Amino acid sequence: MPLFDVNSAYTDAVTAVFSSTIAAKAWFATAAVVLAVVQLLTASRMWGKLHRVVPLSFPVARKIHRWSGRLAFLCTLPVFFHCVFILGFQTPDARVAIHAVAGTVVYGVLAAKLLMIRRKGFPHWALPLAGGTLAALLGVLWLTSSLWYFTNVRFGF
Amino acid sequence: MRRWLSPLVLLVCVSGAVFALAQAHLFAPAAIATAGPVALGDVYQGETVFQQTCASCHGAGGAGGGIGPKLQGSGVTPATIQARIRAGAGVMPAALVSGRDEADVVAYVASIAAP
Repeated sequence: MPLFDVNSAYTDAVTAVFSSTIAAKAWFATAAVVLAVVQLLTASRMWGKLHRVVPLSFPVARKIHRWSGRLAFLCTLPVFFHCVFILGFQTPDARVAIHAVAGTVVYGVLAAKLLMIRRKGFPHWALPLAGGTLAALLGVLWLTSSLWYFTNVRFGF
Repeated sequence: MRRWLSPLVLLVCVSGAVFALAQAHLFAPAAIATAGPVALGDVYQGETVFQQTCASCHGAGGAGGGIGPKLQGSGVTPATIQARIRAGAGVMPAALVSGRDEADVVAYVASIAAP
């Protein structure tokens, strides 16, 4: 099967639900960012903060944190596929350049964070820093793509 | 310091791999991959301009339905898109978009025209 057919198959699958592949990306990225907010809130609770805002026990917060992270990762996969394999690295203007650079490093930060969870010996601020960086990168990616799409093109599926 | 080495190496390796994949651009639409000397702009911005300027005739997303031909899957090349925009065709006036908008629209239409 020629490589081109992958693009067509992906486009056909996505446009069965969404109006365009870009609209699909905007909504998948929005879901990932919403889940990233859940990640931040539950992580804060796990680190002893936001008791009143997030009235959850530690085990419940940890379970929600892990599952929201897994779901957020899954939501980013179709976005990753379209951005990396179909659109490629582009820098036609500042918005796209910022988006491309943030998108390039976001999985690297995720991988580093997951490694830091598994390994001991890091200072207590290292994991919140990695998680905060990851959330900030997702925020930048959303601002430079989904928000731009919703405000400049259209707000819809 | 050595404990920081693993996550940093992983960060650089994964980011480098993503960058390499994005540069390889494996599943780029054929129309874009063979664009040649035609200047292609921002696909996203092109969609904005297209919806504002072209969709009334070519349909939303170039799906047809108006007086203009359907562009989705039409296989039209960037060079042809650019030529049609500049010269006009049928009831479509010449130079409906120009400059940066033209490059953006060419990029967008090329992205939806892949058959």
